[in-house]
Amino acid sequence: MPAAACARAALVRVAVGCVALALSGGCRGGGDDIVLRMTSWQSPQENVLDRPAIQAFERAHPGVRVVNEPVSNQAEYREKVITAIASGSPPDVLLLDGIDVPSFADAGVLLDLTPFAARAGLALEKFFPNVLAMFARGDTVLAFPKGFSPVVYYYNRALFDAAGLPYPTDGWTFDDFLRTAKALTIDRDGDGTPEQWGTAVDRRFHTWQAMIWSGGGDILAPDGSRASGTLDAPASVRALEFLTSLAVVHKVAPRPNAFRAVSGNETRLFYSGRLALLPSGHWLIPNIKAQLVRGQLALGVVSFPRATDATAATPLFASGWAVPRNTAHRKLAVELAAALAGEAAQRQRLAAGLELATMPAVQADFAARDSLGLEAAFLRQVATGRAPWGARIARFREVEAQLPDIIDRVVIRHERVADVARDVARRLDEILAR
Amino acid sequence: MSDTARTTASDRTSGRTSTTAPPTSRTVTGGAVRWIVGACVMWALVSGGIVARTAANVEYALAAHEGRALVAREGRALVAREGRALVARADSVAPSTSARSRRVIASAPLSEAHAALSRFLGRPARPLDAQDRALVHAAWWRRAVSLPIKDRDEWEIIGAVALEASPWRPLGLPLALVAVAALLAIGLARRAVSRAAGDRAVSPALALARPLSVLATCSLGLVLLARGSVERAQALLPPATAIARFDALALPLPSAPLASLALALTLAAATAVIAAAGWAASARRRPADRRETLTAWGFLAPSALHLLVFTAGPLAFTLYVSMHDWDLLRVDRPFVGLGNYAELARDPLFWRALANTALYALYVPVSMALALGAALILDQPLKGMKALRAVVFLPTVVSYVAIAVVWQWMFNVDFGLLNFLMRAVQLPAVDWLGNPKTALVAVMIVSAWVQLGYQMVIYLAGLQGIPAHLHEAATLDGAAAWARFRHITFPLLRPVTVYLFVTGIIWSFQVFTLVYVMTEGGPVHATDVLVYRIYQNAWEFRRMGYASAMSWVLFAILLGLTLLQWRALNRKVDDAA
Repeated sequence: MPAAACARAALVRVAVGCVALALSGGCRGGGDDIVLRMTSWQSPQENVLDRPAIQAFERAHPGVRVVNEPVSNQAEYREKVITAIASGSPPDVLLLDGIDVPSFADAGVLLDLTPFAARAGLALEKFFPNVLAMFARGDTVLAFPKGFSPVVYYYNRALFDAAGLPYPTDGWTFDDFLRTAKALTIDRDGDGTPEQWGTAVDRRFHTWQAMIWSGGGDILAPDGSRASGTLDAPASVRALEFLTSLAVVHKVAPRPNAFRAVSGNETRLFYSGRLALLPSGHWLIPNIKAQLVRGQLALGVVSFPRATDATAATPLFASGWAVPRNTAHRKLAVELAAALAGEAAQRQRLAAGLELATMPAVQADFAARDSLGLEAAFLRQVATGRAPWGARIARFREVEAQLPDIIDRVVIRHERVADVARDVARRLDEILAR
Repeated sequence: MSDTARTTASDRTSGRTSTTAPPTSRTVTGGAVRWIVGACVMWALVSGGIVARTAANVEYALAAHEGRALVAREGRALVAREGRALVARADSVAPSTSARSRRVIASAPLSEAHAALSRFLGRPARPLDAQDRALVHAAWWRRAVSLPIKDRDEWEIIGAVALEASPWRPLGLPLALVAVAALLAIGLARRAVSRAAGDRAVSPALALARPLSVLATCSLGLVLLARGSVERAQALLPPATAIARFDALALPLPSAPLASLALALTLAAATAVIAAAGWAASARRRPADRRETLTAWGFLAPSALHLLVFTAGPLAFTLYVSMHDWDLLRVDRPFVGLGNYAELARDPLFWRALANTALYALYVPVSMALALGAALILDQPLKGMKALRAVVFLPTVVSYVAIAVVWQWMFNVDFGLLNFLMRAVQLPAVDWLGNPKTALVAVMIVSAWVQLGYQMVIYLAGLQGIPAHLHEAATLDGAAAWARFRHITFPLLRPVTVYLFVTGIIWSFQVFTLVYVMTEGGPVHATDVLVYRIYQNAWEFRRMGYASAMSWVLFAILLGLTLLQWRALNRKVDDAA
């Protein structure tokens, strides 16, 4: 075939293809089943724990099929969900992190579940009120809480026993904490680098938010509009000075580094019995559950220390099942979300040890059966739990990105805490005013 | 010079003398007309297809709109009976023609609705149950649409509305217009090209202006017609009442179909223009050249289209986004003009990221020098070299995330391999990733390690392309190894060197994964680079407009660098030649 004819034929084929594509775009195929799409950032192990709830839901709704589309990386998950909502094809049920509640609520993309909870067989009164409040805006509830965790200090009982120290108790003070950390920091060979550390300082904000609160300070003004006057207030500066002094002045903590959690020095040191007090959440448990059960590791859980004139407080990090406002299957989606957040699903999920149940009765029951005593200790922290700033203001991700600079500048550059706090507060004011 | 035996100017220029058949007016006209007919037919096909598709959407939207209005009107009676407010929902798309000829209202209970719908359709409808599939959405059964009636909360289906379509009414006119426009354009083009072939003063491009203008006018007419139809239809429909929550449920009735129609017609017209331009460009050459040109255009078209749709299009769109306060989750995206660019100029973190990126790019010449050294060693005809080349190349094919995680461990201050080796030789341990002074260097080391294999392979290919007799002659003349490298090898590798430098710099400005996994831009923003900043603003802070502005600055920088380097490449290649 001549080249020109060949080119003409190719062009005609392209044109015919375009027309076919254009015409076929309007046809909607598909089988008889209604497909409900759900998505989350849960790990494969957690997804397995949700299977019974999903299967029960499918049995109760013949002709309905639930397709789980998990994304195990939380950042990628967020990208996927935002893109799906923006493109008008959201999943029917999605897992919502507490930090995304304000921005999703402001954008009006989530369904108010309040009128439907009872119809879907879920009593909102059964949830921890302070956990449910994180997913509420006024009278509306935007997600059914799935699980949550306060941030606490884990302590290694063996190291306390070896040092002859009593175990710490809730309500202990900054002075108590420092004294304990010093006693547990041991430089056996005298080379200036301790082989065993008293505690750890993590630059990531979620690990030291509780320290600021327990020191009587805060990050932002109560209405979340500005940081100046709060972050650089004496109480906040005092808490920050105490925190950073652990690494800089008292040398009872290794210098915080820039690593991510998966390869963090601190957790490795803690697992290997070279660190006595580690700030973290319930999410640490799955990694060490086998050792705990076998008795290879003996841990305790205690609240954050407090300033003598303040009360201990800790943030509650929670996630919940939400339904996009423009889902095509409103009733089914709400019922699925309710099933996933329901009592049976929560009991099932507790086995993973990732988080606390959001229903007090379920968690109390689980704590009563926990021979290690950790669950009861976690349960005690709920009373002092507050909604983190991330669950209260929409721009908090931008705010949070600035906060590790405080630790870095004090620990690495040896700047004064008060100066750094003032400088960062000014930057936060600009972000919040935008 | 006679018409039947003349030497073309190009042949004279090239020194060739060939006698070619004269391009008679018949040949030119025949070829031109074939191409014009092809272009017009293509335009008609694509336009027709798009119009048909869009008309279906518009008709569906109209039917759904009317259905909702009907629910709102008729719902009052149902409300009185059921004591509940009603909404209707229709958000699926199906091919159809028209509606509004016949309608039926079916109300709860569902069994009654089912029976009514079956009667209306004249055939059994699918069985209904509490979670009836057919009524969850508006559903099309042949040319009828049914819409579920739900309570105010959209929780329960309590009835249904159905409308039957009447075929072809609105589709006929656009299709007829497309056909007439295509025929008219073909006629005009045939005449114009004939005239152009007879009159050498008239260029084929000018001759095509008239038929092209007809096509453009018709395209515009179609858009206006569609807009007018929709507006008229909207005007005829009863307004929504408060009983139905159209604010939450309404389809974007006029905008989406018209936007897609306008886009489609623009694309169709562009296709026709490109085809005609291709012909015009080739018409004045010899038939063989023309065929070659057209064939080349044919082969290039898919790539060009791909480039247009997936590169140039998004690029232009990011420019648009960069002038808005753009949040993916929000509908309101206010225009801010150059506000994002102005904010960039004031943002210290942006300048820090820019400086870090420029510093980071310095690893490129270092890794190139190492790669050249490795290539010189691995070019030796020794046993085991092939295996060694594979080993050096290996990092290039490994996932960046895996590399970053492994190097995180290597750099660890307490138990990392590097510090273990340093301690072994009595050097103090370095907190590679935790120290602002060393963190960027650490990332550069990893990048150099990753790039080494790729650059080595390219250098190896360059080395093996150098004729052996040049080295042999130099050796006979007494040149030492360094002299041979300096005066033969390196000059002849200049094109390879410039290529690696250009691509290396471009890649280095796009570094992201290593920074994201190893340091997240820290400590104290020591490894904050441009693409990481773009990512953070776009996806973590949802500031798409600001991130797009940054992307455009990065694009401008890379474009400038590329142009400079290509100029250098051309000069050096010329010098080397």
